[in-house]
Amino acid sequence: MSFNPALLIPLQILFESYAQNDALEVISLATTDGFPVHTFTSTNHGLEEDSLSAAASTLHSVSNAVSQQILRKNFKVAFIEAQQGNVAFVDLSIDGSSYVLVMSANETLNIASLRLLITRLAAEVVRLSPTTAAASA
Amino acid sequence: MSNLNEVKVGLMEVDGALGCAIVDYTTGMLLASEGAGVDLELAAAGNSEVVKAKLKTMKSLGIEGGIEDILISLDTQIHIIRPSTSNDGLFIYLVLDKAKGNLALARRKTADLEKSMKRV
Repeated sequence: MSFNPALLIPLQILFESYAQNDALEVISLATTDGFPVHTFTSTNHGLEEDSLSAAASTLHSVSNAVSQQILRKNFKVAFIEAQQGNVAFVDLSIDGSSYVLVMSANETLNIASLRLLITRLAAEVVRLSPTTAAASA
Repeated sequence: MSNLNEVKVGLMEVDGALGCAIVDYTTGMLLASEGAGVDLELAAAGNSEVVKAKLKTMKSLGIEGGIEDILISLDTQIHIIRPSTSNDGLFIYLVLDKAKGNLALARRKTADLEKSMKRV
């Protein structure tokens, strides 16, 4: 599974526009099998892109398995509420391939706002691909 | 342009304001809230269903365009629901004490604050 290289620059620009929000600490797109596509981090926690992508991939699999077993439906969004912030994971499909989008924020951004931002970004990422955008129109 | 906190402060300055909230009606979750009078978390979830039901009814009636506002008069309270134009899927919710508030003024002020609301 490989991300269309032509979409990388628009993706970086999109991530940078969201990174203007000081509350956002991490924005990352990875394949569901754990390979990073692009990551923005504002904090210096020693966070490695590979580890983040692997964690996102694991959570994607677990969330999908749980929602399939309990609801018999595909998962869309998963949240982790931490002591001083939240992390959200969104399932994405671009050009027929599956991806997981990750966004984390500090405690100044509540979970509803984080959900609004990540779902908005997810829709914009999908629209970057002309074929996916045309299919969803 | 105003951020969510400034909108919230502006809403609470309306005469008779008991509580206010900015709500994501796609999930029923609260982005910001202030005041009391009603359980705002519960009201956000319930009124999200009101907005969704209205949109669905408009669609089935073939009415184009969006909702400007929804005004609900109760025995002792007035509730104003105003969807945001700058933030798709959000609405402003204002609860007023009927005895102390003025519907026309509150509606005007809510409209002004909605127009000034920055994109989240």
